[in-house]
Amino acid sequence: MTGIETIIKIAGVGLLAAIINSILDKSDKRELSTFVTLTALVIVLVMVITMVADLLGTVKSLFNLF
Amino acid sequence: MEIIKVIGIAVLGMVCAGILKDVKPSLAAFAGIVTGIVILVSIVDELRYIVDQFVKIASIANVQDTMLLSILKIIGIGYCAEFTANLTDDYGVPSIGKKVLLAGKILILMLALPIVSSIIISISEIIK
Repeated sequence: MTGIETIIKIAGVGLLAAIINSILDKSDKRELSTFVTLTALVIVLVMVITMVADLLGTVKSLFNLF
Repeated sequence: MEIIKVIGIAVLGMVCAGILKDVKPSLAAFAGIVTGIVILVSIVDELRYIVDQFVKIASIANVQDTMLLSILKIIGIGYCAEFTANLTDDYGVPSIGKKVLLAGKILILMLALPIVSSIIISISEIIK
């Protein structure tokens, strides 16, 4: 059951980035919105990479693919 | 029942991916990928049990260890390649996934060759 909160975390990061972008657009600081999108992507990518590493680690130990 | 748990996780992931698709499309693919990983992690215990039973049956039928190990390795490689191919499909670049599948097939063939050759050698000895 571990990992369900990661899915919701990713949705949260996406929503937050969208809200911050719309705020930045309203206060016409459009150049900052690219950085917000970039940081959101990096955060989510780090989360996903660690999960993929765990999964492939278990598969490697399961089928002893050394 | 485990299947109910899996369905629950899948529905949750589907909803999150749907929300993200119109809010921030680049993150929607990640939601799908993470849902897949969570579902597989919840199935790993059953898979471990199956592999242990497989090894036990093989030791009863006194299959040589090398053959059993390469069979397990083939299953593992096939699964990892399939997982990566789905990953790249989700992100919209299926051509990379196909290359990974090709590499997986080649590696599986390399592992399967010793088994095939040993079978052929034993058959030729019987014919002599």
